[in-house]
Amino acid sequence: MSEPPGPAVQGAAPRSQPDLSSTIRWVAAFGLPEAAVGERTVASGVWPATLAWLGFQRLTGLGVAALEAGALRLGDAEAEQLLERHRGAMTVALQIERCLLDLAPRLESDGIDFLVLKGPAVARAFYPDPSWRSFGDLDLLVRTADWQAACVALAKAGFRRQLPEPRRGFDERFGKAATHIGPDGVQIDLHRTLALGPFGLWLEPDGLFEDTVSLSIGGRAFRRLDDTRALLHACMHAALGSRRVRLLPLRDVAQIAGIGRVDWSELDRLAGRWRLRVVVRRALDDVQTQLGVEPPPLARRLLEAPIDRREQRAMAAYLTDRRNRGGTALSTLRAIPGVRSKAAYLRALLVPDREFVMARDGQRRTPYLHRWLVPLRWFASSRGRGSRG
Amino acid sequence: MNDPIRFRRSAVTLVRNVGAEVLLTAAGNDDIDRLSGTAAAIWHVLEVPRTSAEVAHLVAGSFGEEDRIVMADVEAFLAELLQRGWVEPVSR
Repeated sequence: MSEPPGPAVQGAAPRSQPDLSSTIRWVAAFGLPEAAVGERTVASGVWPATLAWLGFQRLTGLGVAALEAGALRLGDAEAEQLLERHRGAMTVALQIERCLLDLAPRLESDGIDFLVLKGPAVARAFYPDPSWRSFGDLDLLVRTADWQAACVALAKAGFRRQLPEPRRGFDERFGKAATHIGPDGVQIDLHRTLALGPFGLWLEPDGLFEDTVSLSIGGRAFRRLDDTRALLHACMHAALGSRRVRLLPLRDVAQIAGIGRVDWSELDRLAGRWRLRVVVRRALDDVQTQLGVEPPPLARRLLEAPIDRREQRAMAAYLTDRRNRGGTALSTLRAIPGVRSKAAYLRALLVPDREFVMARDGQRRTPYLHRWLVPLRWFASSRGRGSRG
Repeated sequence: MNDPIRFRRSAVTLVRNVGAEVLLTAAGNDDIDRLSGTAAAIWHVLEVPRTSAEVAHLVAGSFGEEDRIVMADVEAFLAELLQRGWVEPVSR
């Protein structure tokens, strides 16, 4: 009746091996009505890498489900290793849900309204068994007006913010979320909007509170995004969350699209209004490529709608290597309305508060220099493109 | 004559399945309990409210035994689940 220490942080991706990715993708699609059925046998020689990837991609629950259904064939020792890994993942999930239950009264007593996003919400609302869906942190959305009060409430509950805001007021104007670590290691991502950069700015996050549904966890009623907005958020996470393909967010997209009561006309309207058509299209394309699941026929209108050039340009900043060279910041700058706001954003990036710099860069001797080099590289690369043109 | 007490899973219990095992915890509880084997099987049959006699009948059936052989152990285990807050009594 003991439990391991708090939630583990995901490490570096394990090394890939031939035929491995096809098995991992098969596991990621297991149980979807549209996915390829059949059986998989994993040879003991590739099992250690397979297990590492299932853990890294948070797919042990789907692996265990496939194992129990007799679709994934493993030796006894390998099966026990998979169960052991999944036991760890489920222990983390329970710690996180317990943390949510302990924290909720504190937020509510401070008058802070919040929505539960991703992990517990998706696991409980859309998967046949929440044990199929692992998660490593708790994502909560608060209104921008409640942002500071929510940060204070978390601090009062013993949570430590991982990184301060670059300058006072940055979070509420330009930020997406801040990570807070609890005394027992549970990580809360406190969100103000659903994505970093232009897509997060184009969104109207406070409006998301108007279209929610009830979510029961541990006998307590919470609120989550309705199915249509949950799918939109899943698409954003899948398409914008990381340059590297993450299969669990794609599975969430397929799961919600297949199981959820999605209003596709409303999704199209929201995606058009918030310039997210390119994001939804990207996510549904990746689901088809990686999991072999075609978009629902009702998604056709959305997939065939024209995409704004600004959306395409913003998307490129997330998907190309520009992402690691300040590309997201540059596209954010373009999306910020008004010269004064643009100036405030640039100032925060180029001359952040000392506290932020020390927390982020440590004892670097010239902490501002590398920040100032980023726009110089933008300038150089744009000149380079210009001369080639 | 009073109806026998039925037991159901408590709504406050947080649950996850790991193969045939069950992990349980709740708000304010520092532990995570792990049920396996017959204990997990009893948890699974409590998906709907049942009396201890009904649970004993289902457990005994899975072993090919008579109900009275397992009754005392089932009652003791249900009392333990009740004491830990994982199940709650319902009158009907």
